Amino acid sequence: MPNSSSSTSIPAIPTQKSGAEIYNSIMREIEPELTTDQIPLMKAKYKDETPEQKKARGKRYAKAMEEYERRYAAYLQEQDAKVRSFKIEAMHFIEDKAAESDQQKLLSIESSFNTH
Amino acid sequence: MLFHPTFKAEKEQRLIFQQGAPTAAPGEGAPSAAEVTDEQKTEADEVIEVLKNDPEMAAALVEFNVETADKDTKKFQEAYHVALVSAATALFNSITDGTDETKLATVNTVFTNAKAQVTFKWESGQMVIAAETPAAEPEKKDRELTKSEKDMVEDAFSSNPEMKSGAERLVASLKPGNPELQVAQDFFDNFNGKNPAEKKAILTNNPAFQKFMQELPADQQKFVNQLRQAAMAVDKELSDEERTDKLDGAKKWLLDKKFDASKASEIDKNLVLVQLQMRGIDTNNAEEIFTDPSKMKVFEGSPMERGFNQIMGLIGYVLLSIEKMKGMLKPGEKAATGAEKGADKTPEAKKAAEVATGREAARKMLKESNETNLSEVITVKESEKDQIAKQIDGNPAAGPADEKNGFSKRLEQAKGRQAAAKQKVDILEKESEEEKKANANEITKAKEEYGKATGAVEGLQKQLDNAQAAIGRLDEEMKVLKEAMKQTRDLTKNIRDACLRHAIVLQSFIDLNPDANTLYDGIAEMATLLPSENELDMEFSTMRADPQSFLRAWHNLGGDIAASGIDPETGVFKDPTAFLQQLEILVSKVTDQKVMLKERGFPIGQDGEIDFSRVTNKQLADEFETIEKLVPNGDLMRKFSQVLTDRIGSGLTPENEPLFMAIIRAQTSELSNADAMDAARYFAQNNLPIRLDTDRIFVADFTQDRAAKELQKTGLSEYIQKIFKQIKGGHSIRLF
Repeated sequence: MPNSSSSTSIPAIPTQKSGAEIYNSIMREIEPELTTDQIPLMKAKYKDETPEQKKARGKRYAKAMEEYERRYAAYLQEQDAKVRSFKIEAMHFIEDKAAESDQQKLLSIESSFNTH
Repeated sequence: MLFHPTFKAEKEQRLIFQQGAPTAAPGEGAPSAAEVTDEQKTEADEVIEVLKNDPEMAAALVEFNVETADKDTKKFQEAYHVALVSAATALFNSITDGTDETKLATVNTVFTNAKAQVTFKWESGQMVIAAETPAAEPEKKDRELTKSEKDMVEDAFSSNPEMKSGAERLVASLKPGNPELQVAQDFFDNFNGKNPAEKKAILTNNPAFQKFMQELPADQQKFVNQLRQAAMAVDKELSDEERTDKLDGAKKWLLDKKFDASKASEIDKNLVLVQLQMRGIDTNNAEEIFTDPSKMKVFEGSPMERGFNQIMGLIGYVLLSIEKMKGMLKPGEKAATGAEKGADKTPEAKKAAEVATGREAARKMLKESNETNLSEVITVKESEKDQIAKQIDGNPAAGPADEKNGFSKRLEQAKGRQAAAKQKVDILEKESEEEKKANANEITKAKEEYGKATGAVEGLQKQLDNAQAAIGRLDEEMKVLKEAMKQTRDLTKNIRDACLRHAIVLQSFIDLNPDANTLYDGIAEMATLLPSENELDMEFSTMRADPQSFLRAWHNLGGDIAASGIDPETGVFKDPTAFLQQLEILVSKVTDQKVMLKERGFPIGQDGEIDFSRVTNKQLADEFETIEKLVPNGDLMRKFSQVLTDRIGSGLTPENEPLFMAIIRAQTSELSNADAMDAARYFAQNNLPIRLDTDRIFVADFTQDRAAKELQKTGLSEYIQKIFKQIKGGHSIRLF
């Protein structure tokens, strides 16, 4: 399959992040208290809160989690697109390699047999 | 055309391409966002409802989200791998000549040259990823410093060469327009704004440095940290002063020790050697050092090599000490160095044993202590530290009261008894003379009590001091051991990566050069057999490749055995850095086509280049295919093409027949049997003097002059093109 743009290198595979890194990178922008490093501190932090305060906090967290779900879905879509783009680039690279080889051989034989 | 639009995956019968893009294979892994959200939503929504009333439930939901993200990211990673494998398989299938091994080698070479992070292998009939390397850091090209930048650095660090070199490198790595360059400029403005005394204090006095750091904004603090790292990384050889200091220190230490090597056991000799090694001494001339300490030399090399040498010394010391303590080696018995073990008691073996350096001893110890590795040594140290800490702080679980109460508490109690005794003595001493006489016995007893209490305080204080010193020493040893583990891990990784990289390159040359083949076998095996992260040793004894053959090939390829970093006798790696440097040179020699052709008998001119005017047609013909496969785009191929054109250009004759046939052979070797038969049929139908022999090789019959006539009519180039056009016509085959 002809490809107009020539690829000289395979695209790099993105560095694999851990689940916690992904989760924290999204959640940090929504509700920092719900990042994995803050969760263990929660109990001590809110040990004196009233039931009303507790409920308000619960609502705040629930809202944050819903927002996280939305952003995570978008993140998945973005990653999906990246994988597709990666596949296309990898295949273009291989096509270009084959095309280069074809072209080179044609040129080679042409020049070898060029009797003018 | 490599990928035909109707081409289908063999087993699945699905289209490889749709609308110009590759389709996903079943189970290819990339999760669809919608699919994942649906799965998660039900469970997550339930928890979110509960969360509204109970925020503590957040922990469970966070855990769930983290696990989900973990699974998803793994699937994406897998999808990337599958994409690479698909691309590699496609490339593999597009190569029509050569064996599966050579095809795989070509695939790997293409991917390596393309800086792919993976290599492939063939497993159970399908292509799989053999190894994955993390993405390399982009190459940094340093630029020249401007005059004002040079002045700025000179002004700041003229008194500190390391900081100066580090700063020069760091600033040179920042390209114009990089915001960090402005940060650097601001930092230098700040620093150079100080008077010389303040600058000196900042560079030499930690509190002054910390105070200065606090004055700086965060981005400049970050720059300073980078600067310090750059300064530490400056590759600095030992100065004469440092060399003298090390030698003097080591000689004094040996002298103070009053060590008599003639009476010492081998393990004690090795213990001394490793301790010298820890002080930066090169212990390769062990016997000389023992007989004449003035022959002592410092270990030369880069800071990393010197550091490594010292760490090896420390590890040797730790291991030998443990062995000695364990009593595994009885007094007088030789240390477990390779040269000394076993029944070999020949003078040569004894001599070899005597000159075994501490470094080798350390290596051997590591190798031979099946259960001892660095992490275990650290565990032993930690446990030792725990024990001592219990002695200091006490151990509530212990039976005897003395052990329940540690040195600290017992010292406190003893001090209490001492104070009480002292008080009693003081009171009694203040009494009238008559009373004193009457209480003489009591006074004596009180004084004795005080003396005893004082003795106990002193004894306990000494024990406490010793225990605390031991903890300090253990902390220091563990710190160095951990650093050793890290360095070993880095070094091992470097060797493994380099061996793998070179093996992939050499793979293309194994059929051409037996020495390259041997070299390939050795380093490929090293790449796979390299020891675990905590081991420091690598020997041919653990490999199929034998060191003699490996080093012979090394020598044949022009490598210097003495600089190979490998002991020719034992195959032990003595110097991984030297090995990697030489290996790099050798591989580049093997892959240098000119060198290869010279070795294959091509005539060399006075300028050291191949003299093509003296290259015979047979040589050209024999090498044509090889060169075409290995360096289709290289200068050499262009030269070959030019020479071929010159020689064949005059027309087809018996004289240039080998060249002609080589080209025919090269260009038709990829044909399937059916296509080859088609070609042969074409030649016959067109009455051309070319036929297919039983080995599926086209041969020309030059006894007839029909070919010459045909050529005169059409010209050689057109003639060949015509043949191939005909062969391709009507067939969706890939000729080249």
